[in-house]
Amino acid sequence: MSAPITIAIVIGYFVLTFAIGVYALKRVKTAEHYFGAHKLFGTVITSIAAFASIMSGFGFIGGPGLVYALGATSLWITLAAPLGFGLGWFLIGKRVKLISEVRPIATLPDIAAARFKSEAVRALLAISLVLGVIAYLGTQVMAGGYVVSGLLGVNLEVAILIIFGITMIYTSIAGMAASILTDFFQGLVMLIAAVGVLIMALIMTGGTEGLFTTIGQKDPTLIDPLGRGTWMLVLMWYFVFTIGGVGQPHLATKFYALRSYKDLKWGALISGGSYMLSSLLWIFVGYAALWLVIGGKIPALTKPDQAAIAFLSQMPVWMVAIVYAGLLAAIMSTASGFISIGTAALVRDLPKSFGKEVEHDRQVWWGRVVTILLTVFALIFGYFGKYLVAILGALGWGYFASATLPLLAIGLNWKRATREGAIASLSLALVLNIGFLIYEKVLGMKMPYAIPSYGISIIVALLAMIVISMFTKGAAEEDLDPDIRAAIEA
Amino acid sequence: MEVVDISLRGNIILVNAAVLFFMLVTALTNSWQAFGYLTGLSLSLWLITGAMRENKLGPAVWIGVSVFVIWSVCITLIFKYWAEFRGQFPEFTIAGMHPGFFILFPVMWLLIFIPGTLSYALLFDRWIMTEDDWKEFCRKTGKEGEL
Repeated sequence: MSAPITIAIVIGYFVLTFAIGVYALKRVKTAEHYFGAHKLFGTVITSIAAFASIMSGFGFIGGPGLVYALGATSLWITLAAPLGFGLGWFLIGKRVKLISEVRPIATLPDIAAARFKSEAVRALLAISLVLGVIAYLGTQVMAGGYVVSGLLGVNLEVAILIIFGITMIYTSIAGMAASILTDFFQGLVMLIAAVGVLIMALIMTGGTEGLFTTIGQKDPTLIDPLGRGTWMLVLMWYFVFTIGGVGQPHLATKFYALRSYKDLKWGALISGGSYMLSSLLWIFVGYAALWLVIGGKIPALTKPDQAAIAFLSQMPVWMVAIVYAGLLAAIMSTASGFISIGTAALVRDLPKSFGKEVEHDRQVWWGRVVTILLTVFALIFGYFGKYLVAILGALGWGYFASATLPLLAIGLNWKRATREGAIASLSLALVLNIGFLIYEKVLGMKMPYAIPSYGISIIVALLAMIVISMFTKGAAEEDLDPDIRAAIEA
Repeated sequence: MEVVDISLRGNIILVNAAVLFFMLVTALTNSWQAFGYLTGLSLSLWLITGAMRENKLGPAVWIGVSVFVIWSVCITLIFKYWAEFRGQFPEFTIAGMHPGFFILFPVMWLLIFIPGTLSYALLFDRWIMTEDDWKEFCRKTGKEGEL
């Protein structure tokens, strides 16, 4: 159990987050508000929320752990942000926003169905989103549980109920509006934690000179630009995490939450800049932990994921509290976004795609019920799933990117993109991701040259969309609805 | 086969498709240096695709070219210094950092931010979505006076 001040700050964080989430209910007047926070927020809130939902707990624990183990290898993931966020705004920001101005958009499948005039596209995308959401949430259950258990000194099961119970309740009450508003608060917490960690790490190690020289003289590979990875791995990672950002549902959904098209202007800068700042934690905590071990200040770590905890053990108590609050913020912000997305897919998109739309004024009620059911299912899956969680947990960033990128990046920029291309790319994305999952996790095979398989899936899905579209005609050119055409041409 | 009129943006997407195909080939043959440069080219083309109009490049071309140049110069230097000092402490460091690492972070990280992300705000009012663009959109969608 942690020091009293740490516990107090963490509890304070939980209380504030919950209160903000419930407060968001004041904004929710329609189903579109509930599922998509349609036109509810301005630039700053939405942009910070976008960054917060992208920066998951991995950036606080997994990332530093990879730096500890591999050196600069994993940095090619987080250093993709300066281009990744810009690509999101350039490629789809304006178009998604304009479509949401003329249509009651609340979900990504809404946009996909509007663009490709196809309920099959809606259904395939909704299924893909639900699968990805459950897989992602499943991996967060134990991780979040262990963090809270260690912090508050409660058993794992109670810890899981605390962190995910709070997230579930406020998300259930006010849907995506709650998710965005709490994400904004959580983003600010993460930024404070990241800046604090950077300053403390540099003070502790004597600056970059002392930090990298100490590590480099022990093991030069850890300070070179590649680390222990391969060039194919890091370069594919850079590609996947720049262009792949465009396809992340928790980013794309933020565009229709904006009040006005003018709110797009500063979004990329705020969101991207915030992510860049917070990624300094990923970079410097891992290296600082290495510095501590090499300098004999702490014993060598038995597991790389202990890097962040080991670093925090050298920090003042108040700093530890803020970083833990930041870590919880990272976990909860991403989780609430995904819960909202999964709920919307189940309540709005899947029934609609089968011609059985839930009555509009009952959608919010059903949204609340399904939020609870989805979260409980994810908790059970995450807690008992073990082997299955370890396998499906690999369905993450790359999976979402391969499913949505062709539809959004190509579909919203190219009038020639067709319904048939969309269906082909979605189907291929699903088959390839599941196929690679079986190949790597079940059969224990390895990709050649450590190529991330989801990089292959993304490229193949993009190619499928383009090539199939060249030979088909559905929902392309003259067949586009006039408002969709106007958004693409704007 | 029916002749299809493809816009300039469509042509750029087709060029990018060819780049993506070669990325796949170079990845599967571990031609990582070629893959690296193709990655920069693809990302630049995506940026141009998003920043341009249907048939007008405007400042999009400069944004894309800047990113490609920054990326290509930086990874060339990164590859060079990695190879030069592989497995050993480098002969010189910059603020304690390996020169290849320093180019990766903070140099490339900060430089790419300018055309890649900052440019969006700088170009918004006069290129990405002007007042006239908005009025035209409202007119085309029959929403004048409503939005």
